[in-house]
Amino acid sequence: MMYNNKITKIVVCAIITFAVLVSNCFYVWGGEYSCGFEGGIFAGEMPNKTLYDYKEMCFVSGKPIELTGTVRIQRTAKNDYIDSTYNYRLENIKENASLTRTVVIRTTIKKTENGQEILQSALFRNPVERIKINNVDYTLRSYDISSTTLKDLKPAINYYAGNMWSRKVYNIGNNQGTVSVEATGSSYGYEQYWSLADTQIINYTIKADARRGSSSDKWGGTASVKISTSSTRRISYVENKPSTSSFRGGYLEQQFNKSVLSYEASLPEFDKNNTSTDRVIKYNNSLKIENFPSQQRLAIVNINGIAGHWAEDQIRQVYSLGCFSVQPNNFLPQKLITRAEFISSLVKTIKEVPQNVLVRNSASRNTTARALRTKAAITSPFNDLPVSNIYFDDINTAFQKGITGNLFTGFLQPQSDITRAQAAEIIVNSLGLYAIAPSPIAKTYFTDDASIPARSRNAIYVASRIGLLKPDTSNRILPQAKLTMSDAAVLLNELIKFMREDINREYVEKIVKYN
Amino acid sequence: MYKRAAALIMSICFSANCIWCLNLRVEAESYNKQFFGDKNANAVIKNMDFEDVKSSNIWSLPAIYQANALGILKGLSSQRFGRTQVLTKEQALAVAYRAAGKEQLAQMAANEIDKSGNGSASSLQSFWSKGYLKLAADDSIISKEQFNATIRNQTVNGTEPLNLRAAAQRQEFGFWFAVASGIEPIYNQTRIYNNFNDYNRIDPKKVPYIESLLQNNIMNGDGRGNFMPQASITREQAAQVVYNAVDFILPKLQLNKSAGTIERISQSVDRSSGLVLKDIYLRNNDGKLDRISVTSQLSSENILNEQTGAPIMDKVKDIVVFKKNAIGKSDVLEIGDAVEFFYDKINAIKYMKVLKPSSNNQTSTFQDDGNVWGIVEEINGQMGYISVYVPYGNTINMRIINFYDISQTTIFKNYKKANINDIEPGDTIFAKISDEGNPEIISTVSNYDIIYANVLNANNTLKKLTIRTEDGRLMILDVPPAASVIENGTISSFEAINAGDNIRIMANISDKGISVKQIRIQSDQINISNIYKVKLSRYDQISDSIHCFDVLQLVRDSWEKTDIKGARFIKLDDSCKIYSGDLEIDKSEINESFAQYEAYVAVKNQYSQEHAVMISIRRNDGVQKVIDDTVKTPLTSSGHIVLENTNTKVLTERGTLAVKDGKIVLASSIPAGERVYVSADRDIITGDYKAGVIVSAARYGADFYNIYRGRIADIDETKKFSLSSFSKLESGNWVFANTQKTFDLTFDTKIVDEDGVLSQREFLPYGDSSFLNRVVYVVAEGSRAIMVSTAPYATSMLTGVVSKIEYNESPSPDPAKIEVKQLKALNQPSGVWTDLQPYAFSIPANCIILKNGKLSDISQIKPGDRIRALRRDIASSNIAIIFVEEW
Repeated sequence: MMYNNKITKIVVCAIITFAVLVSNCFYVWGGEYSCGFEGGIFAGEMPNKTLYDYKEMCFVSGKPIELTGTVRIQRTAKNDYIDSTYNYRLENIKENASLTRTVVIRTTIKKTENGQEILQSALFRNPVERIKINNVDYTLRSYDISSTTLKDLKPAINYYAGNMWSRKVYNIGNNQGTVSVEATGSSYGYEQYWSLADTQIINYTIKADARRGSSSDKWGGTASVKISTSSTRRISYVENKPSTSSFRGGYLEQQFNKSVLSYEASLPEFDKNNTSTDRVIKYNNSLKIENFPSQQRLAIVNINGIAGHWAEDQIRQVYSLGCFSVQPNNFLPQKLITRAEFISSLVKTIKEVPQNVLVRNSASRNTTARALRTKAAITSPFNDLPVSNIYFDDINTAFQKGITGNLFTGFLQPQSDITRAQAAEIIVNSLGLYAIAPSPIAKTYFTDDASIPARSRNAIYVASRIGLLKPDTSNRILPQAKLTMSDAAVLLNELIKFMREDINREYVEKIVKYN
Repeated sequence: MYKRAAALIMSICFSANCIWCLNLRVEAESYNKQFFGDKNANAVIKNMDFEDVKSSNIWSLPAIYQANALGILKGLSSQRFGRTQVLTKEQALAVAYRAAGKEQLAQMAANEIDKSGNGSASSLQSFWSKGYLKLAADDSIISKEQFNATIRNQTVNGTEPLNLRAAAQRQEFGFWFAVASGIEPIYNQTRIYNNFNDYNRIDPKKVPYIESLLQNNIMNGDGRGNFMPQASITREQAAQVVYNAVDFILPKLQLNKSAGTIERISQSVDRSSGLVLKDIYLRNNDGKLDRISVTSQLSSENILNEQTGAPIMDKVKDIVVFKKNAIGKSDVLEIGDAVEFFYDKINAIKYMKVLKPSSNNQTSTFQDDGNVWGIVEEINGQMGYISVYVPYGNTINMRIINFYDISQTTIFKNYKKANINDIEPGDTIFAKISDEGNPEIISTVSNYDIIYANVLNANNTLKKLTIRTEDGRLMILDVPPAASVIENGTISSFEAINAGDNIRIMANISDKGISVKQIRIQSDQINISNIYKVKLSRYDQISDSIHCFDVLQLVRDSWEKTDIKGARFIKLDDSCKIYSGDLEIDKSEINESFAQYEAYVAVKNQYSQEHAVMISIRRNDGVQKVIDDTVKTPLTSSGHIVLENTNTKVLTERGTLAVKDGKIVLASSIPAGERVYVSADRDIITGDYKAGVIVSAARYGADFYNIYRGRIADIDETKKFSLSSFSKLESGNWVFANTQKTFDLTFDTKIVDEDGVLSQREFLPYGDSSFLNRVVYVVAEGSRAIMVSTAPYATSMLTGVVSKIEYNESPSPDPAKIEVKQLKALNQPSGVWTDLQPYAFSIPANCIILKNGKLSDISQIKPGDRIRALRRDIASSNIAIIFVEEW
């Protein structure tokens, strides 16, 4: 029996290790201004790659011109800043236009006392930019940019919001006047394991004072550019075609990276002599760049006794994704999941928030050294949870990150069951989404509202609003119901769906479409 | 050391002495008054198991339970109080006379009526309130004639019977209640006239009684200066009135009131009878000790009725206790509880409420420092309070904020000055309460929810929206006039919302329903650009696209080949839905079950690429035809649409691809009178039509546009200009009018000559390039000039389909060219159309191009577009005017 358990542990560990190792294959640079500061798009940075397809809109000539080409990005990191060098080579053959630009941006990162990060970006070194449209040169004369972003780090997701301002002045041709492009923008985004999103809304004002012989041609225009960059993972079941196989089918995980840009511009019409007229033309269009999706097959875990169960698919998925800590040979759909098993499964579900590879490497060097020094001093956060418990690492992580919050203090009772209310609380702790609940306490309209404990009210409100907890057919949310293993698998699947799709839609589509 | 030991011994002795003394004192103190439990307590509690009241934390909970326990306002059943239902007239009379302690009299009166045979047998069952009615007649609350008419349920001497089941008005209930309870009228009506705008709507006979109720704070205004005399009153509000009038009622019920704090509870068990004997000692408000003796049942040792097995309750005398917003028996009482109770003439306690529980960490609801922070549950202007959920420890409690004079309260909503009407259930509220109990400041913030949805139907008359939320729920929402509709960042109206629109709804969701506050219409909704009929090959998961062959495009009333040959790959939009008949299917099912099937695919152009928005798999092999017609009868309950001219009855399914104004809609959203193209399959055997595609779109014929041609007589620079006389294009012919016509120049007026666009500032009546006396075309909307063009006079009409376009993105001296196939030319004056070979026409810079009712340009013409055009004559290769006809 002991032997069997040991084997199982090794198998589970192997599966999880495999999943974690493989999952690291997926990586893109996420985070604020992931497409740079120029209002253009590319499909996200990848490790060991510096050259990317890139598109942006150019308004300097008074007509929106789509410029397509490449950007080369090189980053170097020091202790508290990152220098990013962007080299753009763009053109539009139809419009007889081209652009070259080199910009170096220094981003400093300041940690606040409450663990948030404030990032500030500004020009570092003199930028160079030259645009040519219909044989007219636009040469960058001056460029100012400043951007600031607040990043709120929660156990499962980092949320951020930022503001940007920039001003460029170009010389037109050889002493033929100037055109300035001023941009004010806001950005919103998040980073987490299952998806990333960065959305920018930039408003441009374009002012030109062009010389036409002895007279000058003054005109103004506006443009609004909305950019969304996202990376999401999707899971799909693939059935084996041959009927004679050791397994019937398995799961395929695919990662999609895409950037979309939509713009609206109001610019004067130009006459046959290329002089501005009083008639304003409204333009709008949208551009997109997406990577060919990467994919991987997920491991299959053999679980008996679930064939035909209503949650079979969800149970198999969470196991395949390495998100479920209940040992497969101990799994029974109707059996109550223990607190230890659920907390461990949650930690495995939310995984680590991906970080900028440069920051991550620099940080991991420090933390690894620190971890080596302090490993001997690890003590359990709960009196009844020995460090030898197989779930100790996950539960300790959950405690250290604040996922368990103050739900369990002193004693965890790791073998006890867990209610839906408690599960909701630790999930919402991990997502850090209490801000969407009304203050000071949520009132729900479930028929059993009165049975929701006060401390869990906001968590249940949030969990139900984002679709994790659903009421039964009598509109009861059943806060005191105990979570079975199949319930937990369904709940964690819903959490993955939320982190993968729902939150992504909120940041990528809804901000853009309704603002 | 010694001293400390001695001190310790002294201290122990002293303490022991004190305890002894204390015990002696309690034992020695005899109780002042003896009270008892009530033998009806269990039955009363059993009849108050109201599902709609208990555990609800509603504000009226104390009043409802008290009115029930005193037998004044009973539940509609033992499980339902019906708190939000209106109080009927007969219920109002019953409440008034029960509160007056006249229930027995009413029963006697009812018996008398029955004996005298006045109540007809048929109406006896539904006429339980006749005794109360008789008392009302005796008290002249109603007239004798009204009484006689009512009990006979017929008109008596011209007097109509009273509709007992109609809602009682507030003024009626107040009047009846005051008269029955003997509340003295007040004839100096200062409160009514000074505080209420609607005093003149109160029946003058009732005014003194209402004044009395107001002055005694039994009834109140709505907080906005209205008494609302003719409004109805809910049953919970009536319970609150009874509660407010308790000091008047108790003597009528022959009840007294006492209060105290429980000091000790002693308990013994009589196993022979299975009863628990309990003595509860409480220190009353006079400082004296009272004793309450109750007898409850030992649950484990019930003495049972040998025939029914039911517990014998004869000896049980317990108390109805209201504690922590719930009803219980004496076993919920604890030492330290501060209580108030009502007892009868034999000292049996009828009702006890715990004013302040001993364990003050749970429900010291009313103990705060004058600051209340919570969520608004209800605003009741009439009763003058706001009920608020407040967190307390591990519970939430209800806090009632009473406002006696709302004019003294500063109110903020969402950080702006507001009034009481702006506060809504669900708002977060901060209130600072003065020492006198009136709120000084109330600050509330909305907690609106956001719903994303697709509009299935927008009813402009009723202002109702039928929507499907993004998680698939169907809802019908009322959109109140106060709700703002925002489209493209500007305030619009309900009429701007159309079926097929995606919207974002901001709403206040409470137990009273969904109150819509704002609707934002998605800003960049992209219209359906094409509808294809394809043969499906497979669905590719990686690229999320369908691969298909044999692609045809719906061009008005026919399916035409497209410019791409062979396989076509159409990416699916994230919102793409796939149907087979009435069933929605998953995209993965295409490969499993529907490869090689024909399908209709609606696409939109986004990111320079077509994206499928809806795919409908064609399941019929019948004869297909496209009908160009007008809807006579919109979708019937049998799922048919009837067309006007062909009188065709076409069946629709969920999977019918219906497009209206460029958006996918339900077939039911296409109204009567709409011009449509219907691509339908005709069943060979039955002859029935089934619609695969229905397209409804505005059609812009040549006559939609106002195009004039004439000689410019004068120009008022950048303001206006006139033609000395003009011809107007009507049905392809120029109709001459020998009158001057003036057009306004606006910022949007486009001026073009042979070389291209001109600045309006060059549209001058003088100089080398003067426009004076030049002959021009003017495209106009009313008197507003949209375009002025110097294109040559054109009279020769042609039609065809564009097969190729050539033009330069950047300015170029080379004119654009379009190649037109299926070319037909109109021969004048015979009026006969002649088929011609495909031809490449030049499109000069001053060509007028019109599409979808708007001025357009060469870049908007696509291969496959059907055009009508005008050129100088049948031999000319230059086109002057092009109408692009979509759909």
